[in-house]
Amino acid sequence: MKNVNRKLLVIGTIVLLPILYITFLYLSRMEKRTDLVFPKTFSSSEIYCNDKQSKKLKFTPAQTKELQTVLNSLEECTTVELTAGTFVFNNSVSISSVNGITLKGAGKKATILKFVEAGNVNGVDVEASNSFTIRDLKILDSPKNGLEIRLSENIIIDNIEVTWSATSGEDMKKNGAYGVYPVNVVNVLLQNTDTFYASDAGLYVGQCINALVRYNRAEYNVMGLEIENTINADVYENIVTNNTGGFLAYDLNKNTIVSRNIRVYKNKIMNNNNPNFASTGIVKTVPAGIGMVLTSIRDIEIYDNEFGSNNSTDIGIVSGLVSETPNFSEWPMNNWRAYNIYLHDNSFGGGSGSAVDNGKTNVTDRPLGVLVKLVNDAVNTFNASKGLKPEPVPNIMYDGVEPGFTILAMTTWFGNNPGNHNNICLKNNNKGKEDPSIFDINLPALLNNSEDPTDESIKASVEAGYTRVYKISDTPSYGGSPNNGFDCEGFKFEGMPIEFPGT
Amino acid sequence: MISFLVCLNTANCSSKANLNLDGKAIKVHDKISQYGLFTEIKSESLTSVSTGIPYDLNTPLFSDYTRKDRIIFLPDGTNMAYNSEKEFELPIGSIIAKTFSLPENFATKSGKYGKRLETRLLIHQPQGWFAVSYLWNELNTDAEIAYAGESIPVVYKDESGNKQSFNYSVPSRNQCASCHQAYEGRSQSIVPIGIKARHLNKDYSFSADKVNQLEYMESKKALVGLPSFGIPKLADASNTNESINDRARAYLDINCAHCHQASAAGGINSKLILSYNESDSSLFGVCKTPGSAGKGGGGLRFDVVPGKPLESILHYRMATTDPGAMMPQIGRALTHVEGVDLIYKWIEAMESKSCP
Repeated sequence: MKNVNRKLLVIGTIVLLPILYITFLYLSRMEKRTDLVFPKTFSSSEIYCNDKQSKKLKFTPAQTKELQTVLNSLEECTTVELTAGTFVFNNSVSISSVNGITLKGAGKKATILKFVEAGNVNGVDVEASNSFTIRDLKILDSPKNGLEIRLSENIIIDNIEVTWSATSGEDMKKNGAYGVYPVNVVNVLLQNTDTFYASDAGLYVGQCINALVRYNRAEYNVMGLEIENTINADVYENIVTNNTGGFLAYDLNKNTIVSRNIRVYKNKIMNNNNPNFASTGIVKTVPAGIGMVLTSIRDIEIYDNEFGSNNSTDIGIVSGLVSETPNFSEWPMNNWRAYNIYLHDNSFGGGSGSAVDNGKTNVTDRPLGVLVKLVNDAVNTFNASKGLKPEPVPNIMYDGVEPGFTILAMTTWFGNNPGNHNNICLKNNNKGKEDPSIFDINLPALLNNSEDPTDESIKASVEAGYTRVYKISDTPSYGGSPNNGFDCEGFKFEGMPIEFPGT
Repeated sequence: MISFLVCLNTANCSSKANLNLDGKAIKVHDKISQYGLFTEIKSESLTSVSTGIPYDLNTPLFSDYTRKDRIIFLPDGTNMAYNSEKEFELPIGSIIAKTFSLPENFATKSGKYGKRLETRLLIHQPQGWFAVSYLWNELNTDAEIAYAGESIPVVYKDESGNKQSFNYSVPSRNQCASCHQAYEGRSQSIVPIGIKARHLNKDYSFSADKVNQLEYMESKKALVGLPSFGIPKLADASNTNESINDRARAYLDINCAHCHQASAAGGINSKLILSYNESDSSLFGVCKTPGSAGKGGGGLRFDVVPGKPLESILHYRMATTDPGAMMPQIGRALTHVEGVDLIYKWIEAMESKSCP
């Protein structure tokens, strides 16, 4: 009897514990998702104020002092109208904890809010204010962000322009970080808005739930348009051009809002080759010439867009372990993977990938550009030995960080796990001049368990066929081709839980 | 014994707080003199009515080296309810006044009071706290309401005799709310910051006989529910006899944690929690990558790199005066040299390790 017990104990220890351990590891890696309660209706300032006392106030540039006093003692459901002209402010224009406010000008070229003397503040700053509308005006020279909206619901940003006077040289580095910056907002409609020369991102939607971003233009910024840690976003018919990097969708680690259910369609994402003028920060690491970056993002459908003339590459797909931190403990939400990415029916106009980082790669500031160039050169060298001509960087650059783990190390770095476990799905992307190809860099294989790639490790990985380019006509061993999906399909946009005005 | 145990749960202690909860709204006046808070307003001194309770904090919040005089005014016959963690509950009709003055000699930050700049009022109205600042006139004889705040140029000669200048910012009402904030979901309310046990638990330094501030308030019947032991106390960040860690945590708590806590904007957006009692080192920045610092991170990768202050975003943002990066976001134009130095030493003293 004792023996049996001992046997059981031994078997239990040897067999059961590892199983429990693996189960624990597996479960702990499953992505946590935040359950959210959605409001049923979009309650714009008009709807919100429908049955309430409303006030209309009008101000001219000569009345900025009175205007500031009014803004700091606002009653709900007030429409503040600004006449044509230039309003010069020595402080932020702020709205705080008051609902149903409309701030409107006489047009985005006619009414100018100038903040060059405002000190250390955002231009227009809105906090904890629901059913807020801002329209028909221009925000100029904000020390920090042009328009920032925090912790609010039901926001309309319509027909505004955000820009800075410094359009070249060193002075640009002092431009505010973001043009338009709704953060932690539920239900945001951002449309008909132009933003230029922001030293971080022109249009930014972060930590939001339900965002409709359409008919906007982002030009001459470091990053054009960003969607970050956002659930439910529809991004369409925007023009994203002449930025350093065009469009970016990603999750920061540690944030409790894990992006999903995002559609990006009918956008023009071309010619994003502006030299990077960011003074500092992560954005400074973006190599010039990238159309679209998808990093630590999932459940995203990208279709009917026009790509082209992006000097580094049209689309980069990168794991958060590469872009932010390889340390798993830094990813409590387990949202480091870039997966369930459905790219279809896009047109590639060509001319992309011809000069990584405009031919000015810089290993200290922008190491990712250097890596892409080195690996592409290695592929060309390898192909030359087979008598093939050198090619530009393929349209889609994928780091190949596939999830997969060994019992000892739950990490992607220690194994080359071939396949398409990230569900990168491509289909019918041959509508443009160019049939796109995809560059599977396969970083884990490239690194070969070391910290940094070397010329040798890159060469070995290319020669072994781990790091390679798939053309539209290729058939990877794990199914499909770049045009028919590797081996998957199936992102379905769940739709918005609410209806936005004008949809 | 049982009642003694119950009494540890301070709110249920012997004397109930008299919170005057059916108090009426206070009229918001155009001039500070109209409130009757001060019996005498002189150029060099403000004398409050005898019921006003002056107080100070173990570690005060840095405000461009200004001197701050703080007074609580409670409606007659009412008192505050002690709370060990949160701000004390003050009755409707209470007013907290904080007056900011330049030091007489700005170069050395010394001497008696120079120009009086502003007096900020927090008025406890029936619908919540109302915040607004009053701007003193040239002669320091009265102060006028300033809903929209103001920018006051300050010019002085530094110790080398060079002319220095900065703009002192009087906050607008909306800017008051950006620090004095507490969120529930997405609805924000205004709260006092300094009226907490851990900040107030110190010897009161205004009167001749030194007595603990909280005990003084209790003796004046202005505070109820004060337990006999177990009252939290923050370090004095400027006192070199206390440990670097306690001083730094106290400094971060009063200067940053009103925003960098779970229920305020800074904490919600960045996930950096700087409250004195946050024990998860990664939440108070150790090897933590920034939440959304953008270019505010100064090109550095982690909020705090143990042993390496110059590689730590926390230190960088406190030291810089670049508008896009400086912390706190409002409330200072200058660098608090002593405070930055303390945080430098604190990070430097941490056991060195490289963040992955």
